[in-house]
Amino acid sequence: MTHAIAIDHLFCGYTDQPVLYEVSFSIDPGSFFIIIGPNGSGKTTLLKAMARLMPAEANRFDILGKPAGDYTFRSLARTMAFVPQETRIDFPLTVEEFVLAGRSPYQGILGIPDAGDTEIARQAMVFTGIDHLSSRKLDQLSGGERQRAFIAKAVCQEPRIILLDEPTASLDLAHQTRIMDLMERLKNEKGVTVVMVSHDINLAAMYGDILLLLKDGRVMGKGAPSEILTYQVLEEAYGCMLLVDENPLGKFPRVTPVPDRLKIIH
Amino acid sequence: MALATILCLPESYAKTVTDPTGRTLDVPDTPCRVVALAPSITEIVFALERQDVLKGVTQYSDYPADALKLPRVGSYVHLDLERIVALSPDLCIAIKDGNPKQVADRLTELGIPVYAVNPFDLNTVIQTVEEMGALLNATKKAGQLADNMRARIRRIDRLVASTPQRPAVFFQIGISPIVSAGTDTFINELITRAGGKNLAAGKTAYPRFSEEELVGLAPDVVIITSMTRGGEFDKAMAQWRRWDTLPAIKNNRIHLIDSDLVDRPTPRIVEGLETLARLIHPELFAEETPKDIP
Amino acid sequence: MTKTGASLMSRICLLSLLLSALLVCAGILGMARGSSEWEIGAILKSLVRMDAADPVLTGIIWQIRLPRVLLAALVGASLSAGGLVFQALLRNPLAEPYILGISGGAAVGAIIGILLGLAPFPGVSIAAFAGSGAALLLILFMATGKTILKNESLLLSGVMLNAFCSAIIMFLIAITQDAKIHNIMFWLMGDLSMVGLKQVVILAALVIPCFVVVFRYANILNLILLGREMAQTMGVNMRVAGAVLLGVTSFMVSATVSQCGLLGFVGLVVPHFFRRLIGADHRLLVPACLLGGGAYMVLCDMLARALPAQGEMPVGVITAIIGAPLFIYLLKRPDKK
Repeated sequence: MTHAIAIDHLFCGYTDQPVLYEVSFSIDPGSFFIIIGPNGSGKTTLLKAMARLMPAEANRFDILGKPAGDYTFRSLARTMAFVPQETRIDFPLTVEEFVLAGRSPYQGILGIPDAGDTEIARQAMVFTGIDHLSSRKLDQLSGGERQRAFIAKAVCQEPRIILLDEPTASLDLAHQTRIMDLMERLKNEKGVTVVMVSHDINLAAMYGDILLLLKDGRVMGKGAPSEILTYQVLEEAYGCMLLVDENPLGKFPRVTPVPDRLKIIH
Repeated sequence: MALATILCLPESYAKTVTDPTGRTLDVPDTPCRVVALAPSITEIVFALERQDVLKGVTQYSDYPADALKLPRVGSYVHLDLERIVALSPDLCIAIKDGNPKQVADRLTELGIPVYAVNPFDLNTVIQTVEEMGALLNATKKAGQLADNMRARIRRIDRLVASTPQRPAVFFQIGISPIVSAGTDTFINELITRAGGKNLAAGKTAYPRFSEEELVGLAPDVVIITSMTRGGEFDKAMAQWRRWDTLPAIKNNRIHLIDSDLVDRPTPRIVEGLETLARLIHPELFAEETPKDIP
Repeated sequence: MTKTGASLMSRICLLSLLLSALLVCAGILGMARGSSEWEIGAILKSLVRMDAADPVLTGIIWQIRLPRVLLAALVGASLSAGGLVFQALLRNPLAEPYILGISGGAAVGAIIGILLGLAPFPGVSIAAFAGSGAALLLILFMATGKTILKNESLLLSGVMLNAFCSAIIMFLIAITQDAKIHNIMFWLMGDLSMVGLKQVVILAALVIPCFVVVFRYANILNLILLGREMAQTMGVNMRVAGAVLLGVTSFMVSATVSQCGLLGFVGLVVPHFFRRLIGADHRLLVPACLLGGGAYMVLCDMLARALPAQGEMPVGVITAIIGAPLFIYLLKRPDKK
């Protein structure tokens, strides 16, 4: 089976200041792959390295079975889409114009959209539930709506892999689940491989097929949530007392941090 | 573009001449539409009594008074190409030190001959008068002017040679900053020929002086040019009066001179020479009293 | 083509047509005014070169006024497009075409050329061009080590270099004592007057290819506006695009400045004006700035000749007098669209 992404011995950073080292893993196509870890563990760096936004060295870095360096920027944009964490845009673009920009890897020089482009953009906006906002200006949207606009644009790129950098970081509860559900639909309906960095372990537990736990730039573990999310592994990674039990909603772990006043001294 | 067709008759480019700057050009035998590209050129044309062919002059052409009636073509450093062309001249007379070369080139490109004169000392001024006389068919009058100028210069030379004294002269052309004229200028030649010693002589053409340096120079005569017009002269005088130990101030030998007499390379420059001589060596002109121009 | 696609194409064409018409009108107006007085009927006859036209006027119009109007159009287009590109590339609304040391370098080069007694064309022009080229290389050298095109370091280097060059210019002016000061001042203020058709043709040959390149990159400029990283994830090769845009725009602006001195405000105001009017899509903005900027310059030049009773004002004064209040008004006015 061709992995969606296969990485072997990735190194990123400066010789005296490595950010990531000896990172090796592979991502199965069509899976929901979530990278977790404490702050400063290199999660975002790894995601950006995968998106080729950051230079990195590796013994192997294949995307869909082909070495990453063999892709042109355009062909890569047709294969992989990136949704950043910071979504503030200062320019008065309309949502429709912005989403249409996602078609540029397929367009000619001036990027004039054709019938196909407009239809794809419309469907993407329907998919993300923002088609009623199509003529609104980007800077007039709420955080959640903007996030969905970015996802719609990514969907327009018709990628096989979508990379998201902490998409739920600044969203309220309703929007958090909405975004995660959207990703799940993308994975189930279109077979897109979802790779996400998340700081929310519980969301990761609920949605992720495979989790990658990073600490200080190295891989501490990779596997299904029930394998990775044990209190021994997590307490070592995060360095604090945690309670791990089973989430009442289903067969996946639930992680609760323990406040000082409730700590039982063994 | 053959603007050459817009010339007055009879049109004949019979003459090929080389001007003092080395440019070779064809000029009409009898130019009848001439544009003067500097005030001094205007003056000379009038002096040659050929003002009837003069159709355009530059902005500061103010001598003689009749020149004020002629159409303007911009200032001599910033000529108005369009106005010149609109006058359909068959000859333009330019001055090398002053007119930008590119204007001359542009006019030539447009088919208008440009003759550039180059007066930089007394001799070449006289030459310029003669050259322009030849251009404008006024050779007789040019000859008269030239002879007159030479005679008057010789007279001054003789008078000056009769005394070994060479008073130290400071010639001021700028009030603030204080600027004088160095060796490579007209003014230096005039001062020297008028029997004075130019205190500002040196390599720099227009050197600046601080007040301290002036006091150190101890001039016998101070001459201020009226280019600094009007109330500025009083300001300059007040500045000088403070140094009453200087010989020039003690003996009240601080004078004003009309700048046009020493700036413009025209027949009037001889008058400038004479005026300077009177101011520097009043004793040689005992029968006349030195005239200050108020 | 869909409604969006067709409407975009038609908007581009309509805009270009409108502004071209404006440019042509401005050009005719510019050729109708000059320092010599002629009747409007005579002017029109000369423009179309009727047999009944006055040959002197025809000569003036075609040899003196037309090159000047063409030059103004090229200069306005070039500076406006330059400002537009730098504002997008550096993501800074205060960016203008001289920001990367181009003005300082060109001025120093030109002044040295003037002091050495070189002819304005080609001597001083080439000196100015060399000066701006040197300035650009210096800035790129100073800004490497960090990522090239990292906004802050490029901008800062440019500002510092311009300030340094200003000091050099002051020094050179102070030690110049003769009539060359006139030439230097005219060059610094920007002067469109002494050009012949030959220089205009050369400038056109240099900058019109640049216009084409900039238009070809219009959509990429749109993507760059969304952020360098975002642009790259959408398929833009940022290193190539950045280098091409930087190089081509600098070349275009340098060639323009070398020919006609430092004309300010055009490159800053015109892009902002059109952005307020038609939005941030560079596929519309590039033709708008090229044609509209050209028309603006032609009109300013005409005013510079028409307003004073005697002689002409430096064009730079007019562009500033119109440009500065216009810019402030644009800033204060809330977004219309």
